[in-house]
This record gives sequence, structure tokens and C-alpha cells, in this order.
Amino acid sequence: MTVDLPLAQELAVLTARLADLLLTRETAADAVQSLAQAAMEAVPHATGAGATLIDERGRETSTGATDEAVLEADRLQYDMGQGPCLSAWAEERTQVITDIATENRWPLWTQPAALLGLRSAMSTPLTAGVTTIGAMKVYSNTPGTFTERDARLLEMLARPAAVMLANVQARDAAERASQRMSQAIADRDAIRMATGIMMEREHLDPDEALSRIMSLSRLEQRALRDIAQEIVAGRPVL
Amino acid sequence: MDTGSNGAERQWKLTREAVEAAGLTIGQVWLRYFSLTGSAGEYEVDAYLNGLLVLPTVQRDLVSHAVNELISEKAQPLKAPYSYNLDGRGPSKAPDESGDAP
Repeated sequence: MTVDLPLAQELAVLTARLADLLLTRETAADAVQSLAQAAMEAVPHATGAGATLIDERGRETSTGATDEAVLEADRLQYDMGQGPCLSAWAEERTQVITDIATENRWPLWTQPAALLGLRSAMSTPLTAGVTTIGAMKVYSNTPGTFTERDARLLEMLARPAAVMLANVQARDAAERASQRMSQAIADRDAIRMATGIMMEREHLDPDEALSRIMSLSRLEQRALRDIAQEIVAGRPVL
Repeated sequence: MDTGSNGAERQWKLTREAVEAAGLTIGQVWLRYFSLTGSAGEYEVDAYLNGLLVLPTVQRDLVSHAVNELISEKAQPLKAPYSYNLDGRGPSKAPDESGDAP
């Protein structure tokens, strides 16, 4: 099998473009969106493309797509629990569908996907180091679109893309985790303060005071944090 | 008013059922519980929800409260939009970041 590989130069240009696209993105959601766009531009005759980050349990965490049909086809895979991207991710190798109409793997997915107007597809894993973090795919609305060469091209794009994406993802996750944590600590402070105020006003012990605030939150069906903030702000307590 | 070990057992079991039914992770539950001044660690909360550890009454109630808050934030059934705000964003399709393509 001789494969007519793209010129090293061509790949270098594509990789540089990828780096430009991915490394400047703030969030994983933005990065997969850019990657979808890049994949569609890079693979000849592709009519749509997408990129998905998949967690270790096989659930999608972020999805980028060039159009609504790709997005829907992707959603279907995770709803059905089967499809070329999930297989690419799980088996860690490229999956090619020559014609969705005659494809007999992933029967639950191919039928609704065909209704979206997709005919051929190619999906390759995004592997950073030893972990597969997702998959990228291209679609076409005619059968038999993608060649062996296209598959190799997609794979070669996937390698640098996965490494860059893993970076964005890690940065994004750390940022979100620390945002959530500082919010949690702020809420905690407010609730502690409100508990102190409650103890003083109502002559309660700490547990009783906290239980009282919890009852208020339940009674008014509002978040405990909001009730606490009001108490701290001087709201009279029943 | 401790309800005794039977009450405590019912409490963790039903709490765990609620956690599972809502598809919440221990991490999510713990973070909210922590933000509500909960003092047990994530492993302890996990152990509590598996019946391996008994938490003090207030701590158990805080776990329940955290779970309930997360559930009520989650349960936002899809609503139909009116003609006059269709051009705006309207209610989004997914509750979290679905990343609408530009």
C-alpha cells in the first residue's frame, strides 16, 4: 500500500496554523471549535468537520463543529453510545466510513446520521502522550469521498492538535477548578459569618444556628448562600 | 433530636439514591457541601454516602442540603419560547456550555 503523503511543507504550514489557532484559545470549547474549522480546511472535499473532547468514561466534554449536522451527528453518538468517534477513541485508531448507507457497524448511529445528509466520514483519535483525549472527524455529503491519503493527513494533523488541545484543556480545567474553589470559600465565609450573627442574636450554639439558616433556606426555597448573605447584610431574622 | 441509628441509616441511603438519580458526582456534592461550611473531607462524604461512616447530624443535613440545592439548580425543564424573544438568545438548548457555533 503506497500512500501519497502530503508534502512535509504542507504539513508544516497546517501545523503552524493549528498552533496559531489552538494556543491562543482561552477555553477547551473554543479550541475544539477552531480545530473543527482547521480539519475541514485541511481535508480536501470535506463538507463538515468536528472535534470532541471525551473524558475517561467515554462522555463528551466539549464539542466543536463546523455546522449543525455535524453537531447533531456527534450528539447522536453519545446518546446511542456508539459511532465512529467513540470507536476511534476507544480503539485508538482511525475509523473510515465509505458510505453510511451501506455501513453495518454502529447500526444505531448510521441510520439517523444518514438522515442528516452525511454519507462518508472519517474519525481519528486525539492522543496526547499515552492518553486519548478525544476524536476529530470530517464528513462529506457524498459517498466514498475520503482516500487513504486523507486518512493519513487527518492522523498527522491529529498528533500536534492533541498535544496542544491537552494543554488548553489542562489550563482551562485548572482555571475553572480554582474559580469554583474560590467561590466555594467565599460562600463558606458568608455562611460562617451568618452563623455567628445568628448565634449572637438568638443565643444558639453553632449547630443550632446553622440548622436555623438551613431551615430558612428550605422554607424560602432559596440557596443557603443567598440567605446567609442577607443575614450578613443585616436582614432581620425571624 | 437525634433520630437514632435507624434514622441516620435511612438518611444516607435516601441521600445516596437522590445523588444517583440526579447523576451528581461525589466531587460536585462535596464542593457544594464544603461551600456550605461542611467540615468533612471528600473521602469522608463518599464513605458516608456508602454507609461506611456516620457523620454528625448537622453534617448529614449539610450533605442533604448540598444535594438538594444541586438538584434544584439542575432541574430546569425546557420551556417554549415566545415569538418576541426568538431573535434573542432565548432559552438555550443545553443547560451548560454547548458552544453554539458562530
